[in-house]
Amino acid sequence: MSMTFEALCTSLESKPPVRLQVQDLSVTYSTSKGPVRAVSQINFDVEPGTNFGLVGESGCGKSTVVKSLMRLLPDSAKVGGKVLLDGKDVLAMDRKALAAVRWTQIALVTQSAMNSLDPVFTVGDQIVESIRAHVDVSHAVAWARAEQMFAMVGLPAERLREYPHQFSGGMRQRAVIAMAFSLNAGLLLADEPTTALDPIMQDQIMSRIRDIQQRLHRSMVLVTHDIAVVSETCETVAIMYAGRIVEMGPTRDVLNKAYHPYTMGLQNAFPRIRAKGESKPPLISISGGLPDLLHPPKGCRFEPRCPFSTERCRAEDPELRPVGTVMAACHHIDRAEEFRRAALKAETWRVEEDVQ
Amino acid sequence: MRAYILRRLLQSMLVVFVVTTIMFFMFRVMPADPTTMFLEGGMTEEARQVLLEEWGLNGTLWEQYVRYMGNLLTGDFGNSFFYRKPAWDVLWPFIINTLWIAVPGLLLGAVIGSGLGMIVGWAPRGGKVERSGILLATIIRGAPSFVVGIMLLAIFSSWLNWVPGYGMGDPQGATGLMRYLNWDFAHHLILPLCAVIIFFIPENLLLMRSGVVEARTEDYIELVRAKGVSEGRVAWHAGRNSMLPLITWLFPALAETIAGIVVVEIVFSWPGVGRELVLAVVRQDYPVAQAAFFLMSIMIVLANLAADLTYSKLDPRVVYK
Amino acid sequence: MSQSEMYRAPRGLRFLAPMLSTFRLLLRDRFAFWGLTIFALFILVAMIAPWIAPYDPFAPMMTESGRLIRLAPPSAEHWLGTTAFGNDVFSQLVMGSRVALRVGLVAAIAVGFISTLVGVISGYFGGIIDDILMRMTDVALSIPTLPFAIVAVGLLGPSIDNIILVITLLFWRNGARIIRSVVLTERERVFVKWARAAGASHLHIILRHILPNILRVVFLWVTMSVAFAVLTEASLSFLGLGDPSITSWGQMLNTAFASGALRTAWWWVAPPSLMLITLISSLYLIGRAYEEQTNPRLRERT
Repeated sequence: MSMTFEALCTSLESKPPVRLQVQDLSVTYSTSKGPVRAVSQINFDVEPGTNFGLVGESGCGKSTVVKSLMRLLPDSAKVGGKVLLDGKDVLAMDRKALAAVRWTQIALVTQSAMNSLDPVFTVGDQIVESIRAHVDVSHAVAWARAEQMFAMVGLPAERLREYPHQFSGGMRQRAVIAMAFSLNAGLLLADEPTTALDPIMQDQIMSRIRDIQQRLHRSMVLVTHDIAVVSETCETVAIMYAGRIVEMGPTRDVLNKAYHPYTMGLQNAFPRIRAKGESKPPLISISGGLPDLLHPPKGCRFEPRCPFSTERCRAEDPELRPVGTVMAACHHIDRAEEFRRAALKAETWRVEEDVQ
Repeated sequence: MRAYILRRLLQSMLVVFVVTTIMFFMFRVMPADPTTMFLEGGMTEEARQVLLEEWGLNGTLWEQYVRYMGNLLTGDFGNSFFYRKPAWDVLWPFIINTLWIAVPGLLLGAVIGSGLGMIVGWAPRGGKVERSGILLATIIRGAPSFVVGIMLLAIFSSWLNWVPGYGMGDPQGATGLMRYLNWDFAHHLILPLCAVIIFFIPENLLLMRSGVVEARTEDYIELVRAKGVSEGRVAWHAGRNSMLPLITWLFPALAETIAGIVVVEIVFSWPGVGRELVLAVVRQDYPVAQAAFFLMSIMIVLANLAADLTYSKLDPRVVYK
Repeated sequence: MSQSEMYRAPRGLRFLAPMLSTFRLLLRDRFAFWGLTIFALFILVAMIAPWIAPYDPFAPMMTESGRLIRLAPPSAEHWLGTTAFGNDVFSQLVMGSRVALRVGLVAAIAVGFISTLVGVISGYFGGIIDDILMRMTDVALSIPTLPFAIVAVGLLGPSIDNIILVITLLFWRNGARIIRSVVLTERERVFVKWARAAGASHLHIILRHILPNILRVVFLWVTMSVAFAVLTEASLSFLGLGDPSITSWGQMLNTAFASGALRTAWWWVAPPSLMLITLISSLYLIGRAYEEQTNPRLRERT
């Protein structure tokens, strides 16, 4: 006997948020030129009902982390370490257990709104599919749930019968979000949910996600390159660089009192929320690019781009160490105060070009 | 939508008209004179003229053309030189026979082929299933349909003696639909039908496989997988999307694939339009040959039209104006 | 699209560079390697066929007592036995490779030439010329191939030249379509525009800038056309519309089939069947590998 709509909603609403613990997660892609370590030995915890931000520039491995949490990487990627969902290791699960965990425990909002929906099925059918894959309900009940989810993200129910191409970019992304919440999964992975959208739409979508999160209290991992979004949304943040976490801690602390030069540089690259009367600081970008992960540098991975690098940085790879409320991977944590002041000046970041 | 169909129909008619014209002039420009077949019998000049008139061969080429096209519009394909009766009466029983092997053969070939293509496309890249699947499909694709037919005949008819290898049987006294709905007919049908199916499988398989391999990398497939549905269900999403390129490629290729059916009919002596076309050419029975050719062109044009309409059904993005 | 692309326009000997790189691309694929090897073997056999074939393919084999050796199974004298008419199967098979390749290569080169001509003119000049040529192609695409070949060869007479002519008439159409679409993209390239602005003649632009860059596609289409041509010739011969003065594989099967030797003389039926399958599949393997290597979405990512 399949469930009624009321029974479905009750059972979904009583779901607790999930605790996520990531331990020593490494991802290695085998390529024709040799193994590439896209993610090396990262650790972080997401407390139930909190939002965790993962920040870094494109190519730093943050999307790879998200995909490995759901085991969505291609076979050519070797994943090591542990991904514990309320203590159960996702990476060690068999096919059946994995299928059962997906969407009921972890749901995903993908990066490109344009291509994440199958073009030849109606949006409603795709939401219904995600529900009926896990709970024994009739099509009508699943459809009613889809309507409820559409209402939650602010889309009219009749549009469930339409195809993705009839939706605008923002509507598509809202539909994807509706789908992600369809089973009220304990953990939501949002992989750059707003990148493909225009700025106004980005804002709308993010505040929509925040609203829903406040109501439903899910755990969330939010991947983005936008520090401002993280500061508005997440309690905890981790900054990633070249496959590693270089700084992690309570969002306010990390952003106000960064210990890693990369975090300082990243802040400069985004328009800051200014105090009243403060003059507009210039936007400064970090010159150079990510290191070649086929042949990673021996010392600190950020060293080639770091304006404060020393002999020690070239020779020795720094470990992630606790400093106050945060953790940072830099040899010169003690000089952080001095760095922070220098980092505000544009000249500091042009060091490299001068040398050349 | 209706306007679109109407326009496509008009286009198709134009194509058929041009093809028919080409055919007409090809037959008339050739030096062969059908009456020479009967000349040895000591035919008088008057009798010859009567025959020419009966066959529509009197008057200038232009007059003949106008008359031929006019008759065509009323469904008159002229009289067969060989059977001495209207070409249409000769051909039309053969059409049904051809459809008996062509339609189920095409559909089953497409279903089996694309099903296998989905499996091969979904198999790990560079793995055993993929490599052997591609190799086998390419070899079967490289086997001319008469070779496949001869092999089937040799194995199942000559060697194992399971099924007859000739014709379509002759049910005594059966009429109408009962001529086809009996065990004997099915027995005769099975081998030629298999040959047609085998002929259609590899092309479908390879196209479907390419489509699935391309679809595998799409973002929506990742999201479908993330939803935790069964792997078969994920493959279905990839397959369903790959049907679109399959249809665009496959139906226009019908002009070529119809060749397979002609040859199969010959190998199994299946009395269809294709076999009759070959016989008519050998007998220099032009009206029948022309009519058979005309029918095949119509089949291709209709199949292309069907492809367009199927496509619009399968792809919600297509809007016809 | 920067200035550097200007210098990519090939000059002199670099004309053949795309062909060579295509070749190198193909050798990377194991299937294509075997396809190329098998095809090369066929060409070799066809070239030295008269020296390999032990007997005249049409000569009746006699025993010493003067009796016809009919349907003899394989033996030391007749490696693949004899036919119902006492001909040596092995000799017919070897000589048949010449027919297959002659038809295949001549027709494919002719097809390649016409497709390129139509495709380049249509794609390069566009406008009304393009319209007319493409409508012609549309009509040609609605012609059922084998039925047309049957009728045309039936009317023209079954000679090998007529068969080649008919095959050429049939297969230019798809090639013209494909080549036209490639020319359309080439035409928009920076160096073509530069050449135009510099006042180069159309002929010069086509020969120097367009043609070298579409050679790969032409090469692929010629390869596939060899396969289509061999298949069509074999089908026509099997239907009894082949050139009666030569032995082709399709014809061998036709005679074997017509004389009802299917049940008994496997040595007469199997070899030409195998030859046809091997030759045509080897060409398809080359064509498939080409598509796989040039389509980035199909290429294996390792």
